Amino acid sequence: MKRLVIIFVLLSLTTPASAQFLDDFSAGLESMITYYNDDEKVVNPGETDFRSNNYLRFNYFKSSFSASLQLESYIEEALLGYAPEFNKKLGVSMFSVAFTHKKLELSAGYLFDQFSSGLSFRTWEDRQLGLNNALVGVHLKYKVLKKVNIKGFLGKQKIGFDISKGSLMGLNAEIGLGKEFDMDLGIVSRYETYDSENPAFNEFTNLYSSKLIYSGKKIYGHVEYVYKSKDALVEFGNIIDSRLFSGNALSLNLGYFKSGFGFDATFRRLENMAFYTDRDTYGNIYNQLIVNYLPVLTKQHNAGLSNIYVYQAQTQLNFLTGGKAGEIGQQIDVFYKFSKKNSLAEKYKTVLAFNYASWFGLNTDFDLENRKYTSEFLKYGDKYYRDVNLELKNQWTDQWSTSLYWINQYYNMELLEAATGTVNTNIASADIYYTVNGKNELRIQAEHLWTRDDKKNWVGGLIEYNFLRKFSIYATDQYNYGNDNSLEKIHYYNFGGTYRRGKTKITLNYGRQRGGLICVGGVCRFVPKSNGLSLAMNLYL
Amino acid sequence: MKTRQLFLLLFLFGSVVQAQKKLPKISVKSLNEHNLDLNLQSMEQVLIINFWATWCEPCIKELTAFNKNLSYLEDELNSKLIAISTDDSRTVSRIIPLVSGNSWNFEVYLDTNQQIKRALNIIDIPHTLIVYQNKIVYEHTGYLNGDEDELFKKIVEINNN
Repeated sequence: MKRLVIIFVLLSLTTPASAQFLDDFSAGLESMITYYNDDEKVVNPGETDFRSNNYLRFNYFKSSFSASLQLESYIEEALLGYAPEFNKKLGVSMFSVAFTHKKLELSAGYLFDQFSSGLSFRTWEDRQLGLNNALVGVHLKYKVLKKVNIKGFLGKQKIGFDISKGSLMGLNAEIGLGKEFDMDLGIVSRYETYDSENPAFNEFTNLYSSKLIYSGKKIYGHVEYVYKSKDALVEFGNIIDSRLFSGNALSLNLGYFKSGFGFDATFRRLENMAFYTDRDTYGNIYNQLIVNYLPVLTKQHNAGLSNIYVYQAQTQLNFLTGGKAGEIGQQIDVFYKFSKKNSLAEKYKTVLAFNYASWFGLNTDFDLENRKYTSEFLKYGDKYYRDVNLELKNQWTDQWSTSLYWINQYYNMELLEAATGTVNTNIASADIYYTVNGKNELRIQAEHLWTRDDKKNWVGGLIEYNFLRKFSIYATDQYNYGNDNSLEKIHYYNFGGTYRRGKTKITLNYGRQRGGLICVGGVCRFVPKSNGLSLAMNLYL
Repeated sequence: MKTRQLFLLLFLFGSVVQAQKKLPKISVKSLNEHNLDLNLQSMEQVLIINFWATWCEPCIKELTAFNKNLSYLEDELNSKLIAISTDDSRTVSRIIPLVSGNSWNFEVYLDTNQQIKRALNIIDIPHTLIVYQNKIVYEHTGYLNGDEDELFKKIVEINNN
């Protein structure tokens, strides 16, 4: 039946009568297909060899009305590392309708939105992570005054092809306070029934948020505070309603900028802020039913080897691994473009970027037996992670450009992975671009990771040739040559080609995937080590 | 069986002729909270809309190339460049220092929860569109040194018609 509907929709679009309709209609297909096969070094986990994730989205707009429909299929199973509930599924994953009239915007169905920076509420889709926590319900936005917007929602949340047990509702106001100040106030409430004998237990859990924003001509900044009301402790999906804990988040940001220079500093403290629509999904590894967005505040690196020791924001309350209640730390960014006339740095268009981030546990005292703890507000606890990095970019001629990176990381494996030891790394990377005959481009990247800890040294490289502005071929490798275990000295090689024209992109790749975390926007998904042939396509209508 | 279904779908998808799309109703928010109506703006002049992010290396290369040619784009081609950042709250605070640090002079807008990107059915960035009189005239994904020349040619073509 579903197949017939799809074929009918697509066939009807090919007739000339539908030309008018097509102007207001768009569709996009993203397809990732992998055929996994074992080789002498990498044995694939899972029994299914052929796996694919396919997303087909239709959008329609007509003046103030809009609608969308998304079909998804995971055939024969979802790609490795995605939540198993997607396996073998095919069907409608989302739909929505929206209507705008003057100051009012009304929508219903599967919806994405966020309050302020998302610390109290964010629903979004990230296909790389297999994350889609869309609100399933109704949403309203209304411009009350010229500088006052309010929005509210009510509904449940998407989990795979299903919906949550618990319900969510929220109300938010964005208020303009004169030219340079803005304010954001919100409340998000989660309701989930639970039979509790504890009189202090509440089936509602509320997040109250407030944010003050300053946007000046040279300086900007914000102060944000979120309070989470008391909720039951959850351990391995078991709700312990005799133990109730509240949570909170504080974020401070300050920036300064002028032409050729930019500085930004952020301080953030999170305590027991992880929040899920269904209590028993607390801390699930597939990031299902997340209500709020608690991104890690570190630089998102491009170099492959810098993504081996990845920090994730510590958001959960956990008594079992020595006790953790959150994190505290800061991040600084500086950008600078050399502009001194007639200097070499100016001639070669030098841009420098510096980034520093360090994150610590809260200063806490845990009583494991009684499941109680105390924490100090602005005191730092154990060090979890530090990343200092420098990036230097140059355009030498119209043909030549380079980017050089140096990264120094400290990663506390003992506290972050419940493994032993800590890791100190230095990573250097060079990226060289060379344009040939104005039409073709050669890119060479070389990188090295030095460490005396854990799996020791790595080396990596990439060579890519783009020709006729349509095609590219590439080969990459990452090799853990320093590993003490000779069985782990594996070349993670990949080679393939890409065709792109306009919006269309088709990539064919063969090679090995290094197991580890794939992180986008500070949310991570674990992928196992694998080997196979992949086809990825983005097609549009 | 299901595999066959998938390929049938792909075939049908590829066989449909590309149409000139209308730009949906879109209003974007700038870094200092003022709104711009893209539909109205595109009635006045050719709009180049670029989707980018602070962590996307090809995006930064493309915007650097656009910035180098900004006076040509604005004064000679009478077009307007709008860079819409898809950075979410992890990296949104890096936008102002990065834009200032690179001395970029075009206008930057925000799509923090990727609502606009989704409405336009965009999968990858960098993604550039040319919009004129509410019609999407040209679209391109990815960036290689020199890709901007093709974009400039397209604008000249529109201006000549």
